[in-house]
Amino acid sequence: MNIKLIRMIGRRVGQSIIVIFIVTMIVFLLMKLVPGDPIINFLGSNASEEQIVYYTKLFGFDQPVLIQYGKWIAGLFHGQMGRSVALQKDISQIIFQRLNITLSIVIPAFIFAVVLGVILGIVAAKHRGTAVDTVISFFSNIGMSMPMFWFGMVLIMIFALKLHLLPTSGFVTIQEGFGKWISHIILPMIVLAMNPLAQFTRQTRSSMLEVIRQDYVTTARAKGLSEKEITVKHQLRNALIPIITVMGVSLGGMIGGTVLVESIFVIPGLGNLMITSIKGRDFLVVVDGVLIIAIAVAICNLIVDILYGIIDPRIRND
Amino acid sequence: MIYLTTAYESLTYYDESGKIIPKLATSWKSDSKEPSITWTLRQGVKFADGEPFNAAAVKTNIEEYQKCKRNETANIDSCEVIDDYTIKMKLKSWNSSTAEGIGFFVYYMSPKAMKDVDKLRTSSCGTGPFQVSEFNPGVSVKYKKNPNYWQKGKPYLDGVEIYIVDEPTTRASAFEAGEYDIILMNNLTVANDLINSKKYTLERNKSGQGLVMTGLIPASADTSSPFANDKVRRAMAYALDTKSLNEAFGYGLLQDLNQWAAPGAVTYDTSLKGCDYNPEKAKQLLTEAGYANGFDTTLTTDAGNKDMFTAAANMLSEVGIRCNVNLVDESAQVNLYSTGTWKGIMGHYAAISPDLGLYMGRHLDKNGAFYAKGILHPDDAMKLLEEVRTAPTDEEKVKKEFELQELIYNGETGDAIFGKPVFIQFEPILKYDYVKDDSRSVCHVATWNIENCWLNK
Repeated sequence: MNIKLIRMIGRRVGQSIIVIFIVTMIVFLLMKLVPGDPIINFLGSNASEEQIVYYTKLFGFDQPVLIQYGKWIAGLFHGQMGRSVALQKDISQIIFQRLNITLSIVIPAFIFAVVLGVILGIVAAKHRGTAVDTVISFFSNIGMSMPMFWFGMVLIMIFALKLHLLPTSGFVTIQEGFGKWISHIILPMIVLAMNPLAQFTRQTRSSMLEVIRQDYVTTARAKGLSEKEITVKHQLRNALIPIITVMGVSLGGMIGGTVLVESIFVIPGLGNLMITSIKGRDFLVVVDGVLIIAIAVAICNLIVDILYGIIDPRIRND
Repeated sequence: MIYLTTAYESLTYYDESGKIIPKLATSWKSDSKEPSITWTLRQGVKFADGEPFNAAAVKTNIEEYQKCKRNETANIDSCEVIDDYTIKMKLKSWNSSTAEGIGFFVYYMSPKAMKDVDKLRTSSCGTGPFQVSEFNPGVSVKYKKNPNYWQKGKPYLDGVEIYIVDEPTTRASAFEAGEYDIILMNNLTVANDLINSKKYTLERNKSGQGLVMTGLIPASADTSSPFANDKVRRAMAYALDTKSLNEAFGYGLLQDLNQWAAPGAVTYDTSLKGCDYNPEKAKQLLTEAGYANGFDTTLTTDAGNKDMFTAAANMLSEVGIRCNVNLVDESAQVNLYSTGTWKGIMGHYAAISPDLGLYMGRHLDKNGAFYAKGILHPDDAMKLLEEVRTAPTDEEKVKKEFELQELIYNGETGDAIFGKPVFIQFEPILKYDYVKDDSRSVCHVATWNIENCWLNK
């Protein structure tokens, strides 16, 4: 492996660790400042003062905030993420299970958005100024501006209530049947992919338009290469850098942004867990969730940086 | 509690009028002098794992509750097993609410199953008609029929699935698509749409038990606040046209209230004259209290009642109680009322089941869990609360409960320490016609006789 690439990865990882550390500390402190007590939320209205004091001590919430944060960080180094007050379980048990569910929606949505977005972007660029370009641009503008919640409700109304083709909500694992799994993730996947799809379409179109007019494209055509070869090997490859940047940002955003989709479609994923935990002030779950999302975003950014190096030799040798 | 009562049972439960009736206990005898309660247990009951439900099992469960320092069993000094089906609970002091508190709020688990705590996190082992087969926290609970259920031939259903769907429009869509047989729809706008479609059966819990009253409560404990004065508190109550508020925001699903009881409940006083809407009276009381020019204050509410309470704030402003509406989320609200640190006026949520000693006590006791630290505790109210608790008979208890209502809610002389009740929401339950005998809307809102339920399809 290129030594420069290794150094770049090392720098990025180091920077990411610092950013993640700062983000989690801010979230931890903010959650502690927000009014509300997870112990009272958990024990309910009939809790005695004795019970509240007992559980507050049990969870270590009577200690200074910085001590609590320090203990949480120390626990991470031992693979422990703390204990959820509301769910009475180790957070690592819950969070990775929920993350799997989130990823089972996010990854298909991302792939769908990438494949379709790039194809539509290429088609729009190739047919610039025609009706095809107008239609594609029109729908990508709608995709950018349509509220996710409203779109989700409309899809439910059409495909679940009127046509009875798909369930309204809920989630099943792939082990419970491939067909059943697909039927449950189609609508949330489309809703989640809508905005990134529009972004990828626009970015691909824009990047392709820049390279289409380049001299090396004319040269390739003059050399007798097929249109397909020109598009894929010369045009798309050179247009990829900004497209990959948008993809990297989108993927990180999709992982964190599934909250709304999971709420609409009642999917027990990470977003749903975060919302419930914020409401219940189960702050360790929130902080651990932020940690996971921050790591995911950092990994996405790192992959983007590596891909830059792979695609563009100038960056690799820089 | 609906999750709990599907798999676990208590010694007693409530009938439609709020009277406690046998469930796992067939009878009980209270002795206010000793003080103690002796329970005779139902025979032939087994836990889901086949272990017998008997006095020893009851004793083990009570002791577990006490180890966890639960309030429900705080007044039990000791349990004595008389025989397999008789247990005597000796109390620390006589309290007329203890029988109800223990009878309804303590649920029984197999002592053998209790030893495997990890397994119990995702399953259950009670005497109820169904037992947990799958548990997804915050998402769903699935139950399967209990083959050892003590009511022979029941339950009729093979299983029950309860889903938590926070988003009301998704819940309504899933119900309309036939994915749910029954839904509880507390978003009144969505409930109204479903009701108007006339495709579903609407039921509302008429018993009043366990229902939550919504009101507005002033922070009277703050001696520098105008609300420390009872005339100002009554002025606040007179300024609110709750009937109009309920008509405007309730779609006919909200019921006016002027006391701590639902109409039809055993503690509902039909002769009580509360603070009916009278803005002139409100202004007069404010003048008498020294606030002829009114004063500024804060009204804290959550998002659920924001619109109604903003309208209420406008009504208060018209008499001179100028409110700045402060929106908080549920958790912040819980924090405010459990610490008693709210300023001005706040949304008041109270379970108004008939036993005032138990339910009002949680708010009125000096160390009560709800709102108690933010309100005054007038000596006469505390004395009456104690008399309710120590009443030797049910008849005496109800008499004292009526007096307590009068003391707090009477329009002319009341303390108004709880401000004013605005509405009670009779929990709209929507179901398909084919769902029969679930009794979800008949008794206490936390219970249903799901063993009787069947589907006519």
